[in-house]
Amino acid sequence: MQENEKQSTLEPFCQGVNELLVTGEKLITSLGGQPDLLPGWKALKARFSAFQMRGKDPVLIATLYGPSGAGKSTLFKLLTGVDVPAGGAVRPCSMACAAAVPESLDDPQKLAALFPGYIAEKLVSQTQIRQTDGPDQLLFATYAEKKKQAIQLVLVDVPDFNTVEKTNWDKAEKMLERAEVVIFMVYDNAYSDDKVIQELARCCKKSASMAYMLTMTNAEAAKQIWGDLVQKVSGRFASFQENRADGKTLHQFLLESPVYFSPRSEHPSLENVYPLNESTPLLQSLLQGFDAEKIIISGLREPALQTVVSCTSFIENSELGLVGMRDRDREMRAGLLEHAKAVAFHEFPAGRLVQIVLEEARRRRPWYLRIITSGFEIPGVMFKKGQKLIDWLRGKNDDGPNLVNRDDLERKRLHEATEHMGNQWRGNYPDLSGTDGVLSSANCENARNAFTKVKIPAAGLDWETEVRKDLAQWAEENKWKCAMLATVPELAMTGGIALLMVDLCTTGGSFSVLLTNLGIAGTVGGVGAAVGVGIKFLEDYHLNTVAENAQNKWKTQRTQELLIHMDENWAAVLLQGWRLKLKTLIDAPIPKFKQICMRVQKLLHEGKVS
Amino acid sequence: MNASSMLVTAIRERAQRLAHSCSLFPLWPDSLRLDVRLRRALEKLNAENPDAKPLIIALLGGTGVGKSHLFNALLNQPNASQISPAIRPCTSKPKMALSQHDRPLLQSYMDLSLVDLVDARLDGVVLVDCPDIDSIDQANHEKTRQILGLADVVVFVTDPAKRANFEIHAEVKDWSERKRWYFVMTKLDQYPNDANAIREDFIKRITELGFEVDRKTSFFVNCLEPGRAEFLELRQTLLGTRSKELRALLPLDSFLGHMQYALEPSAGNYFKSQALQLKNTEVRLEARLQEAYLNALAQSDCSEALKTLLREQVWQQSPESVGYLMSLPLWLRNRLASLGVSWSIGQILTGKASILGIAGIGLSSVMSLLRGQLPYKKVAGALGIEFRTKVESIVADSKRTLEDLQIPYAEESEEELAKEPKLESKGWGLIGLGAALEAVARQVTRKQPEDEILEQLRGDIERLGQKIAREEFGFVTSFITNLLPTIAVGDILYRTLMSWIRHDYLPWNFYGMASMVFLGSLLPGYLIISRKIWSASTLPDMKELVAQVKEPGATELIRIARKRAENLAHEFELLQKQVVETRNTLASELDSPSFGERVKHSPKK
Repeated sequence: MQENEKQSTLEPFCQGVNELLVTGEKLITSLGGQPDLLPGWKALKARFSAFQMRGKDPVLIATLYGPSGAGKSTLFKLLTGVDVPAGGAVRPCSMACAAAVPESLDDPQKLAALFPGYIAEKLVSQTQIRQTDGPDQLLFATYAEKKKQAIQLVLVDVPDFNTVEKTNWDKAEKMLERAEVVIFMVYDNAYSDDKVIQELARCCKKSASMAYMLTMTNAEAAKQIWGDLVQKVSGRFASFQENRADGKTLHQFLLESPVYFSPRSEHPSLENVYPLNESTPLLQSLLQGFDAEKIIISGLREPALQTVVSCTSFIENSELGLVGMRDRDREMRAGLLEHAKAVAFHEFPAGRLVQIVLEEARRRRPWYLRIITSGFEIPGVMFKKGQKLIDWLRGKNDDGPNLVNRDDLERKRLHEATEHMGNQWRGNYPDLSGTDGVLSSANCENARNAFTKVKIPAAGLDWETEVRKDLAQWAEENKWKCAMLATVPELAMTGGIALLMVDLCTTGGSFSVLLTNLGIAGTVGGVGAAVGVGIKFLEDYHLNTVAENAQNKWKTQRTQELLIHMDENWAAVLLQGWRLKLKTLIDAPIPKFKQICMRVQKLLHEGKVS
Repeated sequence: MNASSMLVTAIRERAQRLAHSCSLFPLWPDSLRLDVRLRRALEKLNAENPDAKPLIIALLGGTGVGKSHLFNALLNQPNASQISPAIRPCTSKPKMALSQHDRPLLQSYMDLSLVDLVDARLDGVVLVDCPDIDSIDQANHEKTRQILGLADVVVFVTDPAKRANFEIHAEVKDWSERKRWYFVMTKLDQYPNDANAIREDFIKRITELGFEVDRKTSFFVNCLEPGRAEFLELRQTLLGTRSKELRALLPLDSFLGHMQYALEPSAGNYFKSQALQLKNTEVRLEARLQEAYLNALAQSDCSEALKTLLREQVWQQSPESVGYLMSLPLWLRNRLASLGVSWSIGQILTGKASILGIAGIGLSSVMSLLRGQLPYKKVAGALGIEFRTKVESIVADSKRTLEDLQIPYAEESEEELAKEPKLESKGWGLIGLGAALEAVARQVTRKQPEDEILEQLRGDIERLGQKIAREEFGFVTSFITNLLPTIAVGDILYRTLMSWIRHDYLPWNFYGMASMVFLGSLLPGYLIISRKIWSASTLPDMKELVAQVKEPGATELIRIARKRAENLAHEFELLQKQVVETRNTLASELDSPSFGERVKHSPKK
């Protein structure tokens, strides 16, 4: 009955943790984070995996943890009888983790399940421990059980965390993530070392149960040191005021941990390890007397809480980042629109408009006028032909002066617009520029190359159709003006006065290029002048409304066309990585993950996990 | 002393130059750090006065290794610095032992309120017991670092348990170049079984830090037994009297040490890699520029214009090559042709036709007529709008690259704006004319990207023109074309001469007719020459031409930055070499037990 109840309280927790780990791994990686760097994550993963693989008899992992020279290996040797290098001859002494396991666990595969992420290897000689290998190495030996033990205890000796051999630090810290019980060992002169105190805080946070052991000191000094340590960490260290999953602060947890000391001795023995308080059990009995099941679950609780807290804050940061990115996306798109508008507004094809007007007018011209004007038309055409003949005689085959036309201008303006925008964004978002940023000079160059390779889409015919509709209405209302308009160009041709107009009508407005060979300043002026001439011509025929409408329609249509063109062929290339990240953020199942976090947190807070 | 002061001056100058090179890259952490450290080293050198100051020796080590014990034992004053059996850290304010005599000398050099003073019978030596550098008491570390900054010699004190601690080693490493060192291990007697192994291990660790220690600078002592030989030796080495001449060399050595500290090898590598990156970008951008030139020059307009130019160049050479009478009509033709070409260029450049504009064009046409210039600008015009865009994008890319690499650059457009003349400053009557003329002049003289290629073109076309002219107009051409005019002139001269001799004067209209005949006789030759010129003119190899464009303006910004970075890396290397060499030279004098050890290698990673 009791067993069942226990199962029922643990079941939702395990399920929650499982979901947390599985969903979290994917989500956090996709958001560009590294789950392993989140506080608590690695420990939860290692302990939970071992917990799920557990057999009938629970196995408790205890580790000896402390600075170089504290006597970890000496105590390990005393407790287990496993022969590991100890003493001060070489410092640091151990370069690998050594585990002493009960005989029933003398199997690398069983140990691999118990220590996820490690490769277990039998310890044969001391030199193995002195060699430097990767942090995944675990050397093990069996220890002789003196009598039938109450629990299965694996004791691990780890390298130090404070010498110049920095690879040792990782090995020690990795084992700390796994072990439920920590014996924190320190010698008298090192107890107030900065690094030692930092690691002590970490142990208080990670372990389910801890013992503090001072070596190389006597009873009186040990009392003084303990008093000094408790006083030091009580006020000055914010990290010791943090809460554990069981509600205690780290400081409280430290105070409640059993404390031992051992004097300096030529011949160390277990009898020389004394509890500081008389009520504390001896170290050996402490290690054997644990309620393994309870401690294992408590060992899951601590990292679970940390993981939930760190995941929640990671997700909240990501959400904040998402808000910022969305704002930025809006800004950038607004910039694109603005620039597309600017280009479209400047490149209004006034010539094309005049041409359409004339076409429409001619189509509606009464037959008798056509006969009258044809007399004028013939010399005009002849004049044009004659001009071509002269050109041909001069060896000029092309139709006009080889100058810039409207399309080239539009291309140049688009180029300038993208360059300008790129620089603007680089200035506004310095975090995206820099050598590795998405707006880096190399990326800008790539995007430009891609952009220049794509042809600018031709203007769609929608606006022309609209203009023709407007013109039909205008022709209905101004029949005579329409007739006049259809006739004027021919008249003008014969007079040779408005050759400019002819050019306008026959080439679709390339006359504006006459003035545009002077760089961009000239370009703007040229186009402006062209539009001016075109508009003036239309005004004379009361076509202002038509012209204005046409211009507006052109602007809206071309702006959209250019916007899509710039967005697809330039911005998409430039901002590829960034937009992908934004999309991942938007698509990520953040709310679901938050729910899982909250569920696990609730279970932990309600104390149902036991 | 003279030689050494000259040496200092040389190094100082070089260091100042390097600091200046650094200041051109103020956004690089490495260059900023180098700059700050160089300047500090220079300041320190200026502040130091070797005669006035006692030698400062500081004890450095982790908490609980027995620094205070050692301090007390060295001074033979058991209570000079407080000692605790258990509570750590114990010393929180530096203790300074010195003689009454040295106190005023030191006062001018440092703030004595930083330390607790202890009277001691010392001669020219000050011993300081520093707080620890590894406990949770961060304030202690700061105090210690202050003292270390002032010290000349540092004694690294450790015990077997802490001998390999990372944080302490990191501190020693940080100060290693700037100080001279002794190494003391205490409490070895607590490990009687492993004493030799520990000794060896300790020496190995110090060697890893870059030192080459021997028995004279490393000591293994028991502070509780100061009567033993090893301890006495340590006391004699640290507190004994030192030669004044050698003491005078210490500031120089310390200056060099500071230099060595400033010149971190990693910074040198960073500068080199940045310079390389700039170089690569420059090469890439130049290649793009060349490609743009080639594409633009391959356009039909452009090659047409080039052909015209080449023909014109052959024309220009023709009077000289053909020579004699034929050179007259050829010269005349050339002058007229320049006028026409210049006129058309002027039209393209100014665009609008106003009276003043036309006057400007006329003026420049006449100028070019007088000088016989060729219309190279026309080629520039034909290079086209796309070419301009490409050049602009190269400039934009070099600016962005510089921004990415955090290198400041000068905006050249601002300079140009500053150069633009202000119209308001002219007298009112001349405003219009002056402005127009200036506008024309600016259009003509403003340096455009294509000007570089034009300069190359000009030289090449000239050479090619000369070559073609020499090949086409050999002796035969010269003979054939000049034959007819020579006969005509000969005939006319003969008749004139004869008439004078006979006093039978020819009528005046004879001279008119003769001139006509002469001109007519020039025509066949002229036609032959012009046919030859039209048929022969092959263009030069554009690839070669483009490759000859050196230091183009489009990549100027990046080139300047690259040169500066290369210079920085170079100066860095030179100074580094000189510092190391000089310090090695000094070593023969200073490397004796009385001044401690100095770092000799870069520390092991």
